[in-house]
Amino acid sequence: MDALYERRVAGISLGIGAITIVLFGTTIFFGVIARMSQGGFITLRPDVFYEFMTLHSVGVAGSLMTGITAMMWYSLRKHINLHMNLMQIMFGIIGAVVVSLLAATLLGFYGTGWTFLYPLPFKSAGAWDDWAAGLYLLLLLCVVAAMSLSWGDVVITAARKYTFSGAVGWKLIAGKDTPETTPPPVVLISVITSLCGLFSNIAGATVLILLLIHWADPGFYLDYLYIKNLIYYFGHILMNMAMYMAVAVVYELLPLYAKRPWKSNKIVAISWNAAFIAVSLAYLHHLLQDFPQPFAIQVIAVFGSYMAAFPATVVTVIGAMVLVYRSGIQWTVAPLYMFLGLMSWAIGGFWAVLDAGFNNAFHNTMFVPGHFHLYLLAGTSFIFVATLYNITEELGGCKDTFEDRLGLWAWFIGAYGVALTFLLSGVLGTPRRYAVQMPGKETWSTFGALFGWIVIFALILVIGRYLTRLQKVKPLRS
Amino acid sequence: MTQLFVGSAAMLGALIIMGIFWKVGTSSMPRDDDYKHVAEAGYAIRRRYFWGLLAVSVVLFIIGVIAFPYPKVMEAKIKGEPFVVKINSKQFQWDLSATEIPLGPVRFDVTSQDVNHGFGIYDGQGRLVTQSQSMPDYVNRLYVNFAKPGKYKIWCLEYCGVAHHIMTTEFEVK
Ligand code: HEM
Ligand SMILES: [Cu+2]
Repeated sequence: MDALYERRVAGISLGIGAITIVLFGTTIFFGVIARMSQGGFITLRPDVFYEFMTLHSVGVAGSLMTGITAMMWYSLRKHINLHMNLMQIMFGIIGAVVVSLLAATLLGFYGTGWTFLYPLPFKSAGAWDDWAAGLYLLLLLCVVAAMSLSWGDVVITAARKYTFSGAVGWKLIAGKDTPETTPPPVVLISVITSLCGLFSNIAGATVLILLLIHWADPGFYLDYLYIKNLIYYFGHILMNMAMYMAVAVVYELLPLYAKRPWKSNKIVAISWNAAFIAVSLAYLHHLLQDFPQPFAIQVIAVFGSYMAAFPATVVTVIGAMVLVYRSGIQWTVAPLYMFLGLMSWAIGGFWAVLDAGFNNAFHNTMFVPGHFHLYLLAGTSFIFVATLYNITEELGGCKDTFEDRLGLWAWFIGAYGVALTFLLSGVLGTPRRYAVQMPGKETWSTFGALFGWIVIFALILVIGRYLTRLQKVKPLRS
Repeated sequence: MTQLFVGSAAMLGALIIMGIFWKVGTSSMPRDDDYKHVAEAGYAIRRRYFWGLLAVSVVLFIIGVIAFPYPKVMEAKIKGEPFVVKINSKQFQWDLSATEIPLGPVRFDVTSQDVNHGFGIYDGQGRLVTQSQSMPDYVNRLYVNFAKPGKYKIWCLEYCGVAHHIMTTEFEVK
């Protein structure tokens, strides 16, 4: 790959990194405010609480998703030449989306949570305006379009270089691989993740267009159960893809620190193809309390959820452990973020499987935010930040300081506190998405809010350090 | 019961995973240049882990499926005619065809007039007993075998708008 391309990708990634991490921090702030209100420190009006909750979740998830996509491109730069102008178009769209998200929530009081379960967007009982619902659906459609551009680019470019069946690992599985058709793990995983994302985007585009038609013409009938399936297929996979893109990055970067190779082989190929199937089935666990769903489907939902644990832990987590064991790795901040990120993924994933397996006891309790906050706040985001550290290290020769380590451990403690306080209150049956907690169940929210402030403190450190490190990066055109 | 059991498993599992990461993370020194050797030892552990995970998953899977309160499963479990209660939900209230319910098997026919709601039953101590979704156009049949008399509360378990958190009512089991 040519050096100019590599530097430009690094430069764009650094820029996107700066924008997204600031957005990420800002929208986390709204989450902390929401938690403060649940904990009784402040009192938000319910409609404002739900508006903040929606802004928080879409903003945080969206910025993390965008950030990690840039990090995936960065990690792919030595292997495939992606289209630079597509990247720019995509980030332009995301920028427009952010502005309209702010408008829909802060001006339009839109607050369905990210799930926008039909027909809630159109039946707000007076809480938000009709235009805000339409705008929100439209902006999600733009996200779908932007993500499809970048995922499509990854699949097509990789297929050109390694052939399609090579890029998705089928040649490896069939034993028909040649060196030219064997992609490195980062490519293999990115391609499979992208394909999975493209399928979910088809569902997403379908449901969003249907809902927009309904928005324009309220007489347009839609089946509630069918729409619910589409929404969860779309939403569940989208959130999982963020983590999988992060894992792809780890396959590329962790070996640099361990100074050992992490290569594609048959097992890796099988495991990621299995992961594709598992994620596509596991979305069904969001509908386990919908008894009109056919019983066989419900059993498949639980099966798929257990299945998802296999490729993740057997191949990736153990693979990472073998990679670092007796490797002499220096635990500087970047690899430490990655390693701890994988750990949070394993723990959060384990909790997710329990939630699916015993769903009647946990569905829509705080157990759910408990598990996903762990692997988003201490998993995906850790790997995102690790990559930012890696790039500034590589291009600016930056060394870790005390603040870097303090930021890491403060974030770690805050994130685990935030997640655990959610989880434990879920074990006590506390419902999620309550502007005011059920009487007698506020205690955990109080602690959760305090841990939230630790995360904010850590983020200020991390962002400050990142911006300082950025200044050491040599001008890109030199 | 389930909550406490699974909650403990969640904590225990998290501690074990942290322990393993701690052990591996602190065993990075000194470097062993014979990576092939390290990898082979790792793969041997991986094989055992795979079978262990499979065994645990199968057991949990079976327990979980049997414990499902699905109509299909519950109809096989429940003896005798259940007492039927019709539940109708709308933003932001519950409508029950009966608020005094006899001990023993009960079937709730749950539906909604507007958006998705969640029908969550809590006992006198504030513990979640069971739940199902409450959806327009569809009827969820939720079976419960009430063994303890007393007051029970219904709370909404699917976000349905600004007053979701105060959408509650109660009934009594005699
Ligand atoms: C200090 C860190 C954070 C705090 C204190 C926090 C707080 C909250 C609170 C209070 C809720 C509403 C919970 C409920 O009652 O259901 C929530 C929901 C949510 N959060 Fe966070 N959050 C944090 C970080 C994050 C991060 C890093 C992400 C994602 C990358 C995230 C994604 C979400 C999502 C997707 C929801 C669900 C919203 C919904 O139910 O529609 N949060 N968070
Ligand atoms: Cu509700």
